[in-house]
Amino acid sequence: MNALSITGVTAGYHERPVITKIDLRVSRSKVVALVGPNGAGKSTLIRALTGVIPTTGGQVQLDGVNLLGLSPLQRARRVAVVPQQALLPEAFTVSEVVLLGRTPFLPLWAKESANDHRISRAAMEMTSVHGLADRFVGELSGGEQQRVVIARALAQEPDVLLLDEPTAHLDLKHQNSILTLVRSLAVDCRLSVLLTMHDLNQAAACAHEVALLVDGKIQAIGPPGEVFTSERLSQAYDAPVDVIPHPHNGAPLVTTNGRPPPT
Amino acid sequence: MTGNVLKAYAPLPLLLSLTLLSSIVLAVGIGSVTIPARVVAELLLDRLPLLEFAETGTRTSSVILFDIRMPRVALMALTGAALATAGAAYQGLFRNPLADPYLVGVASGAGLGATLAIAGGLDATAIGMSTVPLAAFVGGVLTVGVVVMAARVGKTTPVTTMLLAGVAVGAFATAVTTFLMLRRLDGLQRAFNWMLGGYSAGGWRPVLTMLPYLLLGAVTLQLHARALNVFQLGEEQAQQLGVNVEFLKMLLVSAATLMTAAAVAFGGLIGFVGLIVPHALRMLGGPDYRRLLPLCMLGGAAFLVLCDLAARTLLAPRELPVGVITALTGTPFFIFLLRRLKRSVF
Repeated sequence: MNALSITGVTAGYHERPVITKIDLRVSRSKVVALVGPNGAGKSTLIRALTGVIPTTGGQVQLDGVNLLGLSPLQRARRVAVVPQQALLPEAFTVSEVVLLGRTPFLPLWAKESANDHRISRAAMEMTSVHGLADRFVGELSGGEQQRVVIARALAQEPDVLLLDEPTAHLDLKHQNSILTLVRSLAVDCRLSVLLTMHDLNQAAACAHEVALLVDGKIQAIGPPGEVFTSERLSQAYDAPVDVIPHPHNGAPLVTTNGRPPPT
Repeated sequence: MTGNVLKAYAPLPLLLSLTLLSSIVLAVGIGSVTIPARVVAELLLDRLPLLEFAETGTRTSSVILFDIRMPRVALMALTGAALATAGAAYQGLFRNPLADPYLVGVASGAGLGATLAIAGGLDATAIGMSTVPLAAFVGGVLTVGVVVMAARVGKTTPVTTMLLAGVAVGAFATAVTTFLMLRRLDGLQRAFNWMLGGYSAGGWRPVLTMLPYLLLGAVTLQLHARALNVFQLGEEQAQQLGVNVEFLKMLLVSAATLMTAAAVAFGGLIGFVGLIVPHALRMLGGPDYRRLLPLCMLGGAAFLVLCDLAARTLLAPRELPVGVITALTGTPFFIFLLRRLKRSVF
């Protein structure tokens, strides 16, 4: 079953396409990582999927429903986004911020119901921030804040979770814990997860499939072990790259080889 | 510190209501003729049918109370409520703690409108009152319209562009105002007085004229108070949460502009209320706009009634511009609160 199905999507800014004819499928309970050089269009694809920038061609379907045809409100009930640099109102408490995830389900001036509180509570438990519920988000560390943003996204009870560079600005330990969380959320909540990532090794560790995006086009897609080859990555990034097996699990380990780039 | 601390301030709405009530009683009683609270109560009860309380000696008090002091206090209360609420809404909408109700050009536009009316000799009375406030109202609303149109980029109106357009158009309007004032020196003093927020007596008419704009604006803002909370996540996240960001921006700017323009036109160009009152109440009552906006109505009203009382009694029989008092009293109080709560409240 293809939960999120992207076919031939073209999008960009001011009529200039940044991504062209993207084909991508993200099944339920699966994590797909978009990787590629800066400016390849990773974030553009995420933003196009959420309607922040318009698409000029192609289709996006979610379980057979045309996602691009939905109103922002209807879309927000199915697709949740963790942006690259999420703004957080520092004076709000964690539980207040997570409750904002219930926005697409609340009429204009309705108060959050007991059910909304229950769903937010569950989202905070899944991301292990329930102990911080009454803390101000401005007092939290970067890793904790990122968990709060993910909890807010989960409070939308989405089918699709989109994350733009979810581990940027985090240290190794928190990078690892966020990626483990994302992978387990995909399985536990039967989410289709699409994320962008700079670190190829993290992408290989976290995603079921990786899609290599270069100049707005998908160059290769598949399991990390198949997509990540020395030749392909060296060409895509215009830098010498070696791929060696991880000593513990044999997963592809990407490293620069220290030689000057090919001329 | 945890969010539960805020629950300690749960009686804040009640406290503010009581403060507003007592400041009104004080303000209608104090002046060149002192009317004791007991007499105020008697005179009020006397207005009710079938009750005969007041003695004949207090008829003068009755005129002072009902025709002079109460309209002025009511106007100040409405003006304070409008400025504080609009200020809070702008701070939320622009996610900018420095935002105040005059951010997108209302003040300079109203100033220009008033000056045009004075300099152009349009100082007649239309529909029973001076044309100056009407011109100020129209000037303020039109200027914001120009700012919004100038700031439009395609189908969106980015807030940074709106801020810059507000500064530019505001500066232009102020320049034209100055030019007109210097061209027509006979009107200079009057225009200048108006801009300093000098109150000109007008009875109940200005109060009744202003009230619908205040109500319309306040109800619109309150209906979208939760959306203002969502705006604190940034416009992109708000949109991804299903909020119609561009529509809401225009709606809320219109609501806040109507309130502010009416307040400025009839109550005068009064600074600091719209900046300081929302912040002070955020510090005391938390950042949730569903709670903050009504608190700003109460707090802004009480604050301006008290400031106006000080403005007309401190140097009596001379009157100070009320803006001097709002700045002199509001700023130290604000800094005190700021120092006491050493965390972000925005």
